[in-house]
Order: sequence, then structure tokens, then C-alpha cells
Amino acid sequence: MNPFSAPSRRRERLIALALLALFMFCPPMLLIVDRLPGLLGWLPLYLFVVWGALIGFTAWLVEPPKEP
Amino acid sequence: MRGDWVVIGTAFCYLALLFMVAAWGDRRAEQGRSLIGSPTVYALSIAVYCTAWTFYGSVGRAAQYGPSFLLIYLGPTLAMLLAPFTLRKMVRIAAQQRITSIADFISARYGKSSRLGALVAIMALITITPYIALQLKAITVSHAVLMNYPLGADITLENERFWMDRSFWIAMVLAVFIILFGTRHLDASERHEGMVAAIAVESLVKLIAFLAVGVFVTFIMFAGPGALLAEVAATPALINSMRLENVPGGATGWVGMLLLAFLAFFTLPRQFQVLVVENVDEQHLHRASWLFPLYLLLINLFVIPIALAGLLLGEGDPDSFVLTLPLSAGLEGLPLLVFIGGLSAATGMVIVETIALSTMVSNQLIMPLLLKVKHLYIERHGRLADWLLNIRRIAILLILLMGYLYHALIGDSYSLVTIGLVSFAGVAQFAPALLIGLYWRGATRQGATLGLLAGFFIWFYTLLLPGFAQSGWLKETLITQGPWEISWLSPYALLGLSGWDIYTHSLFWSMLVNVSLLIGVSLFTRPTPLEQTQAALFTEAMHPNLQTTSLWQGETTEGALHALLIRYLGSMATQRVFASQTAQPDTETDAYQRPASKALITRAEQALAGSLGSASASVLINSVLRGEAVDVESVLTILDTTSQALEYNRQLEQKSQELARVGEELRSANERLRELDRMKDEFVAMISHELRTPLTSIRSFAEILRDTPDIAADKRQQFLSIMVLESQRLSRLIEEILDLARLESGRLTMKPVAVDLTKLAKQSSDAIFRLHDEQSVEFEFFAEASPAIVTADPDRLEQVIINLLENARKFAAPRHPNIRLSVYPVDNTFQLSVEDNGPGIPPSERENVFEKFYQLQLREHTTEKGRPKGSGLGLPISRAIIHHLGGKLWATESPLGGTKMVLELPKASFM
Repeated sequence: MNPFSAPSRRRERLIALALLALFMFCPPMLLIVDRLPGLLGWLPLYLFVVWGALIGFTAWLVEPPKEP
Repeated sequence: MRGDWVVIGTAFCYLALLFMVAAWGDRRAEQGRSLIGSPTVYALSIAVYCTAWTFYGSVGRAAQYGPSFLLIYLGPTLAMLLAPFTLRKMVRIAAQQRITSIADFISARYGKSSRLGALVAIMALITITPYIALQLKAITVSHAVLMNYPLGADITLENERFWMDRSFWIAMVLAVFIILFGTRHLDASERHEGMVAAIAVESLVKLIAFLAVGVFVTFIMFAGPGALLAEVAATPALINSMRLENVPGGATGWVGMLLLAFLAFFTLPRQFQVLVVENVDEQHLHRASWLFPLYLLLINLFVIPIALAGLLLGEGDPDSFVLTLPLSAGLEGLPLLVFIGGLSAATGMVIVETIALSTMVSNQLIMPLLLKVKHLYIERHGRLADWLLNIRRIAILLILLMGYLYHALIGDSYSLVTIGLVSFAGVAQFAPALLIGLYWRGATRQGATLGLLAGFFIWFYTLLLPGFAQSGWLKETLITQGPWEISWLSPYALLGLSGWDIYTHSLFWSMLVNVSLLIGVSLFTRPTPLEQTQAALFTEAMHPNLQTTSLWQGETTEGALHALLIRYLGSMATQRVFASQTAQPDTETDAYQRPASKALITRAEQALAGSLGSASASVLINSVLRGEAVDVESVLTILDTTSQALEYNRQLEQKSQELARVGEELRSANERLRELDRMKDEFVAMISHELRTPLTSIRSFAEILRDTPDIAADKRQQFLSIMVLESQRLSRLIEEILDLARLESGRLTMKPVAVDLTKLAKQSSDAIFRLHDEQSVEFEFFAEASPAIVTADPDRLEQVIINLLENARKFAAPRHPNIRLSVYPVDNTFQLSVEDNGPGIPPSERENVFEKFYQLQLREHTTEKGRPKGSGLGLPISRAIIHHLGGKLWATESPLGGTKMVLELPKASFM
């Protein structure tokens, strides 16, 4: 990663991630997941998986790269 | 085995452990080796968000309403994702202005208004008291469940006096604990390091306890999640329990709850305390922005399995599943661990929340009142610092008592989650004033106050009042039919808006009114100068050049400031403020006379703000200042330095750079024009001179012929031939001048074709030397290349060659003139050279001969008839033509002794 562009790009990436998270946690996606065929419903699993991925992405974005 | 004393003993041991951690943290802080200087500890302390409500209530909500419990944690996850934009700004402002609480923050934003601060403090007290009651209830209920299992928890809770009520004693024990650790310093903006360390430990304990019970239920009571789900799938009543249809309000309720949790995360007093006030380093927000959501995910991981297991086994109240499931398995240790986990969740919340509230009560409610009583702050020297601490201690006690009373009187009618959500919706009313004020400079105090009041009223009417009705304090018909049976005023369906869940309904109406009033009123009110200043400082907080000093315009003496600080902060804190001032020892009277610097006044105000809140600090500093506190000009200065002036400066700089560049261009163009003008003048002068010379001689001879009719025939013949020669010279000169003008203006047309240079050279030399046969010139011609094809206009090229040959003939030695013409190839070019055995040209003059009208000042040539042999235009014209044809023409030294003129043209490319 180019060290000069890192700080500003990080802000933009975080905003994009927040918007993505909002989309993933809001009704259109929820209704789609909730209506997937399955005996017990997939909603809780979907929420936890998206949540975990979101945390992983955030950590990847905000943590400074380890010194080599 | 599971005796009352074991449980109580364990609980006290746990509290003692916390006590030790807190004491250790405080001691390390005093030694300057902070325990909490780590982003991980910071993230764990934020986990005070997870209260007993999370610990017990999440399972209860999951059992009742499916996955909606997750929203309480997804909201903060989104909020933390935006931490670099919102929280970071709040943290920086709080550090700059020594903010002590959310009430102080909002009050400082809107011009350090003490009324607004008091309003926020009162609203926080009203909304948070039920929440504290909830924690007390959780501890009491969990203890009762632990003691009475398998009987219900309710049995022991009834028919007891308050001194027999455990929650009363729990409240008192917590009060002592909080007083010991929350009120050690007066400076509330100084961090409670011990407390934060203890909260971080509590966060670990509750996480471990919850994970332990989760693993036990999922993997030991049931053989893993697969087996559990298989049993659920076999139970028709539970099949749809985790679907969206179970969420109150469906998709709308989902979004409403997400927004509610998002907003409350910023505005809960305890979250503001740990996120903003207790923050040690802005950079910690980075780690926290993912570690805290990870914590939330982990603590919720087993909520659904526990809820489903509890529903499958039918273990009583869903809020107690976490305890009753391990109890039903006959365990002894695990339920105790769960109890301690719940206790840590509850105490963590109560400790931080009470400290935050007590700071608000003392700084935003009591202090402004005390300042109104004049004699108090004039006379009570040195004692007010202790007073303030005592006020805070009493506030802690009273807040916990209020929590207990709420719990004892109406708390039983609500389930855990309900109380929590009512509180969330209440504190969410701070969000517009807080968040909009953070980014919009135009938000005014009146707008914020009216928005808060209206939003709070609607919250009260749509959530709290129906709660009272459900507790039996009011008639149930209030909810079902509306007050006075006006159905559109029904608290749960305002204006007939029904079908939403009660929280989304309340949030929608209260936020609509709150935000509309904040924006609408702000647009039509004028902020005071101090408000403008604070608005600028808040909205531009991330600006690197922001200056917080020199806000005070009035004058005061160091002595007056010193006395003020001693009175309110005590001598230690005063010394810290004056530390940099006492460089040289002064007598008391000197210090009293010396005017205080603006930086010192600002430091003093910050120190006061850190202890008393910004509004009171502002009032106090004003009380010792002579003159205006802040005038409009200084406000404008701040507005300017922050953004506009910088922008103007940048534009001006750009403009002036452009101007300088244009000026430079103009100057150089002007110089070139002057040079050209000078050259033109010289040129005209020279041409006139050159034209006059032959004209003069023609006129003289013509006059002689006219005036002397009897002139000898041979003389007449001689004169006439001179006149013819001079006329020829004149016409040639004019021809050349026209050529030069055409060349210089670029109007000379050339028709380049392939030409044999050798043939052309031969042709030209024949013409010249046949004409001047009589001169007996020794002429040599060497052609090393034949044909030597170049691309050129043959007429023009011939003109150049003839010019060169003519020059050579003129300048060759008069006795034995010798001229040599050669054509030969060099690399990609053909060169034609004309050499003579004349006097040659000195190296320093060789370039000058190509200047217009330049005449070589050589004795041999100037003596004859006193005038030069050439017009001075031949060589410049020749060079211009050759350049035009893409070649070069220069002078050098000849082996014959005279000048060698070399003409070089590129070989023609045969295409």
C-alpha cells in the first residue's frame, strides 16, 4: 500500500464499509434471507456471519500493518 | 451446600477483588505507570455497554422476540465503525475543553449554557434511574433464583421491609464502593483510572461467565448445536422462533431498533464517560472500533442456543434461563460463576453510570445554583473544593436510592429488556443536539433546548407514561383508548399510527419533533457571540490550526485568578495551573498587580471546567474579569482562522503567484520588443546609409556631366560607366533588402526539388569566372561526389553559391587571386566549400560577418576608395536561405591562408 495515500483512503474505505454494513443489516437483505427455504430460518446465522466478516474487515482496515 | 452465606461471601470476595484492582490502578496512575494506557483495556471498558440487561435480558428477548436482541449490539457496531469520524472528534473536543460529562458537552457546545446543561442532567437522571433500578433488580432476582431453585424467584421478594430487602443493601454497598473510587479527585475530567481498570476486569468476568454457560448448555446439556437444532426442529412451537416475523414491528421495528441502539450508544451517560471522558489516547479508538464489536459478538454467540434450550426444557422465566439451565443440571459451581458474571455486569454499569450522573448533578445542577448565592463563593475560602466532593458523594448515594425506590415501587412490572429500551429511547433524545451540533455550526441553543424538551416530552408520553399505566398507577384505558377517550392521542398510536412496535413508534415521533425543532428554531434564532465561538470550536475541532487560547478579552490580575482557583480547586491544582508562571520569585503584592496573560486565563478556565463544568467555569472567570469576556471580533477571528481565512489566503497566494508569473512574462516580452525596436532603428539607419552612398555618387557624376558640357569624351565615358555600376549596385542592394524582408517575415517562397549540388556549383562558377575572365583568377574546382543530390530551391541555392564565389573573388589576394570550390560528402550531408587566399577573418569576427551590414574593419579593404566592397547583406541572406533549406553555413580558416566558407545541406532522401 502506498503510505502517502493510506490515511485518506482509509476514511473512504471505512465509510464504504459502514454503508455496506447498513445495507446488509437492513430490510431488503433481511427479507431475502428470512425467506430462504429452510426449516428454522437462516436469519441468525446470516447476521452472525456478516457481523463477523464486518469485524474482520474493520480490523484489517484500521490496524496498522506489522513492521516487517 | 449452596448456602446463602456462600453466595454472599463469594459476591463480597468478588467486590473486594474489584476494589483491589481499582486501588492498584489508581496507585499505578499516581506513579505515572498507567494501567489503562492500552487500546485493549479501552475496548474492554467500553464493554460496560453490556449490563445485566445483556447478561440475563438478551436470552429473555431472544426467547420472546427471536433475533431482535441482536439489534442492541449491531447499532453500536455501526457506531464504532464510524468512530474515526464522530467519536474521535468528540474525544478531541472533550480533551480541549476539559469536558466532564455529556451534559457538560452539550452545554459547552451551545455557548456554555448552564440552563441547557441542567436540562440535560435532569433528563439523564429521569431516563437512567429506571436503568439503574434494572441492575439492582437483576442482582436481586438472580440471587433469589440461585437460592430458591426450583421454586420461583418471586416468593422471597414479597412481604419484606426495606431493611430486609437485599436490593437495598446491594445499592448501599455499591454506593460505598463508588464513593471510594469515583470521588477521589475533584477534577472530573481527570480519568478515574482505577475505576476503568476495574470495569475492564468486570468485562472479562462477565464474558467468561456467559461463554462458560453457553458452552455448557450447547455442548454438555445438548450434544452440540446440531443436536440442539434438531430438537428445536422437532418442536413445532419453536420452528419459527428465530424468524423475522417474531420481531416486534417486523421490518420497521427492526430498523427502528437498530437506529435506537446506534443513537443510544453515543448518548448513554456511561458510554460517554468511558468512550470520551476516560479516553487516554485518540489512537485507542482504532483498536476499539473492531475489538469492541468482537466482544459484543462473542457475548451474544450463545444467546440463541441458551434461549432455545430454555424454551425446550421449559425452565421458567426466560430472563433467568442463564441461571436456571445450569441449576437444572444439578451443578453447584457454574451457577455461582453465572451469578458473579451477572453481578459484574450490573455493578460495572451502576458504577460508571452513577459516577457520570453524580458529576452531572454536581456540575450542572448544584454548582450553578451555588454560584447564584453570592456570599458562598466570596466567603468560603478554600472550602469549596471539599464541598464539591461531598456534593458528589451525596449525589451518588441519592442516585442509588432513587434507583432502589424505582425498583421497589414499579420495577417489578417490567421485564429487563423493556426497562432498558425505555431508557435507550430517552437518552436518544440527546443525539440530535449532540451529533448535529458536532457538524452544523448553525445549531443554536434555543433550537437545541426546544428540540430536547419536545422530544423528551414525547418520549415521556409514549413510553414512560404507558409504563406507569401498566404498573397500575394509571388507568389501563389510557393506553387502549387514549386520554379522555381521544383515540388519536393514544400513547402507543399517536395520530392513529399503529402497527409499529412501541419503541419505533416513540422514536419516530420524538426524533421527528426533536430534529425538526432543532433545525427549524436554529434557522430563525441568532446565536450569542460565545455560542458562535463554541460552535466554531466544536465543528472545526479536527482542524490542525485550531487555537483555543486568547478567547478572553477582559483583563484581570494573576492574584485575582490565583485566589479564585485556590477557593475552588485547592492549592495543589492551583499550583499546577500556575506552574509555568512562577519562574521568578515574586512578592505577593507584585503578583496581585501583574496582569494575567490570556494563556493563563484560558488555563485557569480549563482547570475550573475540568472540575465544575464549562458553564460554571465560564461564570467564575467572568466574575474576576474586567471588561468584555468575549467580543464579536475575537469570535470572527476564530471563525476566520478555522476555515475561511485559510481558504482566502490560499486563493490569494495562488493569484499573486499567477500575477508574478504574468508580470515576468510581460517584462521579458517588453525587453524583446525593445531589442527588436532598437534593431529596426539600426537597420533603417544602415539601409539609408547604404542607399545614400551609391545615390550620392550617381548624383555627383550626373551633376558634373550636366554642368560641364565640354567634358572630354573619355572622361564622360568613365563617369557614365561609374554611374551604371553604381546603379547596378543600388538595384542589387534594393533587391537584397527585399529578399531579406521576405525572408525575415517568412514570405519567401521556396520550391524545394532534388538538385545536383555539383552541377549547380559548376554552373555558378562558370557564370562568374567567364564574366570576370580578365581578372586571371586561379580557380580550382574539386567534385568528390557527382551527382551530389540535395533537396533545395535551385534558384536560391545558386544565388547563395554565387554570393559566396563573389565574396571570395572580392577578398582574394589582389596579386595572385586563388579560389578553390569543392563539393564532398560528409556523413549524411554534402558540403560545399569556397576558399580564397585573402587576408581571412579573425576567429572572433567569424560569426559577425553573418550580421546585417556588418563590414570587416580590415585595413587593406577599407583604404581603397574608402568604402567597403559588399553591401553587408549577402551573407545574412545566404545563411537565412540555407537555414530555410535545413542546412548550415559557417566561416572557418582555409589552408590557402584566407577564408573558407562551408555550406552544408542534408542528402536528399530518395523516397
